[in-house]
Amino acid sequence: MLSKFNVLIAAASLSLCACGQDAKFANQDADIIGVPLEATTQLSRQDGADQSRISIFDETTRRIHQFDLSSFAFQRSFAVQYADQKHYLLYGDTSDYVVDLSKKHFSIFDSNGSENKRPVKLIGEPLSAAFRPDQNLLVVYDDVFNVGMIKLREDGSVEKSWTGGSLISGEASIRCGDLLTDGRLVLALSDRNLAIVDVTGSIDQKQWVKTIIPSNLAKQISWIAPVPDSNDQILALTVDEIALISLSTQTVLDSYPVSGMTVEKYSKAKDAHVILRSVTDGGITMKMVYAEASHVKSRALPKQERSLIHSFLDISRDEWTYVEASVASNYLIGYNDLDQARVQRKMKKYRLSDMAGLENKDLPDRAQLHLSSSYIFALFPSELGYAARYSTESDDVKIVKLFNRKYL
Amino acid sequence: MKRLRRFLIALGALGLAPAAPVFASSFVGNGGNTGDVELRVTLNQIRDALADVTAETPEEDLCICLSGLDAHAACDVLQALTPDQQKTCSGFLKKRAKQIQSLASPDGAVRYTWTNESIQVTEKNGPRAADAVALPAQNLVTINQSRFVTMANHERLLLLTHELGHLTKEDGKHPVDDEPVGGFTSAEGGRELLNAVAASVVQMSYARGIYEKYEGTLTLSQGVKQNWIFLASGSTKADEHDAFSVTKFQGSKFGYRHQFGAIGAIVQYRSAEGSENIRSTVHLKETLKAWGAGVAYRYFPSDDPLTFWGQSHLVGTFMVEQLNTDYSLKDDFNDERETAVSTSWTAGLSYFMPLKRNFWIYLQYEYLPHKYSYETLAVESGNTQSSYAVGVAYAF
Repeated sequence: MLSKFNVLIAAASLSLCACGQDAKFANQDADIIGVPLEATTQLSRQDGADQSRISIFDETTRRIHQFDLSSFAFQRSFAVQYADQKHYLLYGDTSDYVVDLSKKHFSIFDSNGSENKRPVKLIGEPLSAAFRPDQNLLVVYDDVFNVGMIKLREDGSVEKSWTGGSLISGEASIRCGDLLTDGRLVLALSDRNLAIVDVTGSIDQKQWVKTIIPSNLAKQISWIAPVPDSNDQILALTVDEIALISLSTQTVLDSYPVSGMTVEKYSKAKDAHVILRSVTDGGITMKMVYAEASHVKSRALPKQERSLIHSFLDISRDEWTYVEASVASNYLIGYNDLDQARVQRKMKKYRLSDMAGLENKDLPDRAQLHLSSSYIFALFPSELGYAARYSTESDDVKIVKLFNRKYL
Repeated sequence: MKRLRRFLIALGALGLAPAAPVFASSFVGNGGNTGDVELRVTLNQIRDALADVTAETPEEDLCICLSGLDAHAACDVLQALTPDQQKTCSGFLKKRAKQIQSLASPDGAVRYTWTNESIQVTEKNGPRAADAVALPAQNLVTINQSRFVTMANHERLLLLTHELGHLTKEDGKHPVDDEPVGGFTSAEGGRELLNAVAASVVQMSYARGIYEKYEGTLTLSQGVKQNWIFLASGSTKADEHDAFSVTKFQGSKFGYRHQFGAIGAIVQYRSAEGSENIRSTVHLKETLKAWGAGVAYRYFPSDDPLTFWGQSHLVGTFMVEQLNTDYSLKDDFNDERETAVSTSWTAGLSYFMPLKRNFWIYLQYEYLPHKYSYETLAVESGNTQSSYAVGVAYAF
């Protein structure tokens, strides 16, 4: 009885989100393109190596700071428009520009620090973005369901762009999507089909240039993620299952049932995975579901009482890292935000292959955090400036401080 | 009684022999020397006491113990007078009261000199120690400075009245100590007469409330003291170079100054602390500690040492100061500290106002042009300071 009740709740949540209801609900990571806008970039590149730099919006000084993670030094800082808003940043290691989004604006800081204000006109408030820095492709999805596609130059200037609406094929509209590693945009449609979009072609022709294929799933897809090291496979979540789909063969390679469970976390950091929660007589069990070698696999965390606020999977390193915390009642389940709770956060790392515990580390309170496989970056709420880089594999700590002085 | 007699014996005598002291400090008379105030007050008291004595004053009203003053000092001398001696004393006083008054006035042409050597006067019976000596031929009175300032008020009055008495003359002749005169028939009749005259002046002073009149002046702190200990508190302001400069400090200072005359030497220690906040969590704090030494110059704008304004004076200082500073920059996560040292000249001006019994209050301004910076933190703070203070001092 309890499990059926949970499924009903999850289904209702998905439906509400599809209708464009309150975004502050369980599925903020679902029904979007890419990932929800976060305040910083990932610390790991697509190839698994750690980023050499990080851009982060400092909530204390309301500025964007950039740090060199290798030498751990403060590099530069930008003043932003609408500093009172929360800012979301997109940044690649191979290019030296920063995309800055807030509810009220969209701008790009180029390699010289010059700000290009409103490079593309947004009609609604940005909800999510998909970003391929290696190809300088940016897709922004807003709350009026427009899809802004932008091709950037190496210096961060806009080469070309086009905004498409949610009606992509017949009467079917977009539900969710993401960019594949080769730069194609895969979209799940309301008619349970998939659209493979040529982004560059769409921008050039000012219309959707796409190929429609069936998903072969019984229910609508609410969440899509590319599978690492594959241009052909995607993970797709419906109310019934997590499916691994081959785009070329248009077949479901494998699936994992989600009945009786609720989604605890959607994560595309670094490798896509979903964490499901089930409540049994034995307590709360978390299951992490991911794709590897054309199969859908899972790992279980029994008796996981504390909420998982962040999850990071690195299949190439055979590691799964998550952060747990005691959260407030308004905690956004599903939202893979490490900073939703800022006290008593604990990081745990497991060897993926046999779930051997590798790390069990308390994280600093009050700081804005970001994780990679090797580092924990912490930006503390210091008006003078204080940031730290902690190794996840040793007790090594590097500090940089007083970088906010000139901005006081 | 015995004490008074010993005192009277020690009074100055007529300087028949050249017993001028070996050392005599110059007399300024305007409060520039220790004892000057006491001297001027005593002379004023003599004039005031004799103001009502004229040729018409009944003789029986002079050289007697006055009503209500029987137990007072000097009364013993008067009570011991014979009727002839009393008549001689009162006659002397009636005739020469105006002379004495004139001699006691500022333009009475009497010169006074101070000495700290013992005064020896030669008389017919041999040398005698004295606290003062008068030389009528030079219209000069030499006084033992250290003895004079420690005397009681009435003792100073006795001493000077006696010496001024020597400077009066009649028929071209000055009274001397070692000759009989009138009812004073002993070999030291002259001394006994002048002692009786002085005792009568003391009695008249008490009767007219003259001591009370000048009591405030005598207890007023005197600026001619050599040694000064001072303590002050106040604020210091510094230039602002950037947002991280501390510009306001509160603190205190103390020191010692020795005056050799108008010029003096000074040493001073000061410490101050300032703190400021930037935004909501950034806290700056700086402490200053300095030792300085240098020279001082004392200047009295007013001439009258018997008044408050006459004792008030300015002191200018010029010092070399070594300043040690400690700077702290903190917020919830950072705690940075750095120290600095600076050596600089400083200049100051103080205005001293007398209180009572050698205590003073003063206002001070100092200019402290230190220049230093905290290299590691890249902060310039506390430079070019100006200090304002209010303090108290004790002089001795």
